[in-house]
Amino acid sequence: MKIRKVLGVFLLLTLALFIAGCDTTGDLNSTREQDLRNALAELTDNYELEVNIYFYDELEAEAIIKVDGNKSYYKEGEFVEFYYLREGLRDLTIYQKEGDSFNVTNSNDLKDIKYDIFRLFKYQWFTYSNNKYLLKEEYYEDLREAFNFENEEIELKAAEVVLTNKVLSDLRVTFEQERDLYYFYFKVKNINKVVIEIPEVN
Amino acid sequence: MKKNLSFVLLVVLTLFFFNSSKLKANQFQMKPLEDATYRNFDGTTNVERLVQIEYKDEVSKLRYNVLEFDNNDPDIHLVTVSDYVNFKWGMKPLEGMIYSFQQKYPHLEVLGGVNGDFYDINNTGHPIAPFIEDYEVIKGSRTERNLFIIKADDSYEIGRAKSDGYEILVLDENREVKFREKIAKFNAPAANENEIAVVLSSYEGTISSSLNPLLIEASDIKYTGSSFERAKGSLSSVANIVDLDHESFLIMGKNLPEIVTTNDTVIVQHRLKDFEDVRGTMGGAEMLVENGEVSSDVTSITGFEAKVRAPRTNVGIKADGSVFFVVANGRDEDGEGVPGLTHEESGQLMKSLGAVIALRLDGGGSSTMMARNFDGTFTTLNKLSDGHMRSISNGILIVRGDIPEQPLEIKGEDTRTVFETPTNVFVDHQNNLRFSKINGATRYIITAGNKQFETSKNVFSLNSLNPGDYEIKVRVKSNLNGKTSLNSEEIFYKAKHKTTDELLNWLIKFAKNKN
Repeated sequence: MKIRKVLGVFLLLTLALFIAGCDTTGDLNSTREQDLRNALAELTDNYELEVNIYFYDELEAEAIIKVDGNKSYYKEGEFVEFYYLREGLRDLTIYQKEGDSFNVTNSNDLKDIKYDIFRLFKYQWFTYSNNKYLLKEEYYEDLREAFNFENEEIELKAAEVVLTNKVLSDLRVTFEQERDLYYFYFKVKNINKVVIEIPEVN
Repeated sequence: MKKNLSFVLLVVLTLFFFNSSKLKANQFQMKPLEDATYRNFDGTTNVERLVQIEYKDEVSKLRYNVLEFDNNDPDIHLVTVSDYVNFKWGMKPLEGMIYSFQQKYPHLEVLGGVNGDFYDINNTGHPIAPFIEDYEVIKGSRTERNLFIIKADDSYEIGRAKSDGYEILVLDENREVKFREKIAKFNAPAANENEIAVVLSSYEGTISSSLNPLLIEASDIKYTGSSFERAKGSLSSVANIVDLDHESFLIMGKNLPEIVTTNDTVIVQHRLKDFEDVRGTMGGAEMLVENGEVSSDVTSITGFEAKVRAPRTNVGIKADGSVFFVVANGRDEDGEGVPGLTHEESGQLMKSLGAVIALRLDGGGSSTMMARNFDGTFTTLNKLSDGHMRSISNGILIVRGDIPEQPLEIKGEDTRTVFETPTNVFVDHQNNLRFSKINGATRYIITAGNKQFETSKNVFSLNSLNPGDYEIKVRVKSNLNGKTSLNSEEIFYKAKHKTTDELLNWLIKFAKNKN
């Protein structure tokens, strides 16, 4: 009889331990966090961003940004195009397209890291849900500050990050100003595959 | 003897003191009741004073505002404005006129303004005096009224217009005067083909087709009572003279059928002698100051009219040719105890402020003075005696930018060559339209969708465009050196909401700093 009781308690303990061992939620969460952390870390100095800005459902602007080490590139619409070549903290050459030619200027502006949004992101700001990482409400202000807009009236209303095959593929941010909604969509492409060739200017 | 002398001396002294105190009472004096307030607005300066005025044995309290601008700044101009409805007149508060002006000319900045002429307040809203707006004579009758005159070269006068009947102008699509001539017969057929005649729908007789009349579809026809003021329109491409109605008119004579095309604008207006170079006129009542002295127009007023105090709006010209505006508060006895000015006090005030010539514009509840703050909003400087801004007929605005030029009139043989066409047209990241500079060009015409803008520079901000898609082209405007160029190649431009532009600017900073 005693043996039966001892066996029963042993069985219960074993079962409890088994059930406890089966609860993998904590592990999963930390894996998701680690995935986002790794994905953000991947975005260092070689990638391409395809940016769409919507005013409600109307596409208002399309821009392309490329980053390749000390070179970067910006293009918006048919006419606006910049190449940047940084050869020192205070040594930046700007190639600005002006119609059918490029105008070259030098700037000694110090590199300003406050615009490097992906480095300012913290993976802890996001929570994983339905295959997306959603910005937690308590971090709206932090992300808004990270964007560092000159216009303080632009409010951040939502943000989400999507990983595709563990690589950061989309960042979608919703802003509001004067009760109008603007959707700022980034598509991340060509990580570590971008080659920028600075235009030759006579 | 000594006693006699002392008596005479006493009498003389008494008379002297009596006269000098009387003289002093007749002198216009202002004593400050508080420190003056000096304000800088965008492109204008303002001083506001609260004073006690003593004049002709009367003492009263006065609060007034002076509005000035840099008369030497070639980018700042005065324009006259109204917001009349086609085929009618109309009334609107000054702030509404500013808004309408900005809608019409979004590339210009209104810096301030004042109310204008007296008007038919209880009926149509038409101004009393002749009124010129943007070189067009909108109303030409009542030439006995005094006018503040703004000329094309930004010089100013106060005077009167002289009527010389009616005239017809034909302007081409570049706003160049193709034809300008005095009308020989008004509302009657021409006696022969060498006479210029204009016929309205009120004409009951017949018109011989041998006079080759042209039917003009009017965009506007204005009357004051039954008196014709002006008509404007373009050649009808489909209708003929039997279709003449109250929204059309006929022109005939000379070789008009060979001159007028459907792209032209035909204007029939009062012909005011030597007013071709006048950009705007604003009617007023009495002269307040003439030749540096208070005008007899106001010193000769007697009886009740001489005693009436009310809010006043005055315009003055100084010896150096610069213009300033004054608005005196009034009808505020129950508030600040400010009754306003009599006409003579108005003259005295304008003289004391340096006017060598000054004119009284409409006052009372119409008196309005506004100035633009640096954030683009407007401040009303005077206390509105109606308690709200009154709807008025017209006003004077201080504006910054390339205002429309005087229509060019080439007299004699036209030997000008066509300007080169602007090239390398593009829009930069700050929404500035840029294009090649053309030798000899003084103005360019930018067409953005159905809007047209004039600019003197080869860089033009498109930030005033409402969000949307635009096809944009540029041409050189004709001047004395050359004829209008062809339009440049069309480019496509999407005007965005300001927030989108701010997000794009952020992206540029991202790209600039991400390397």
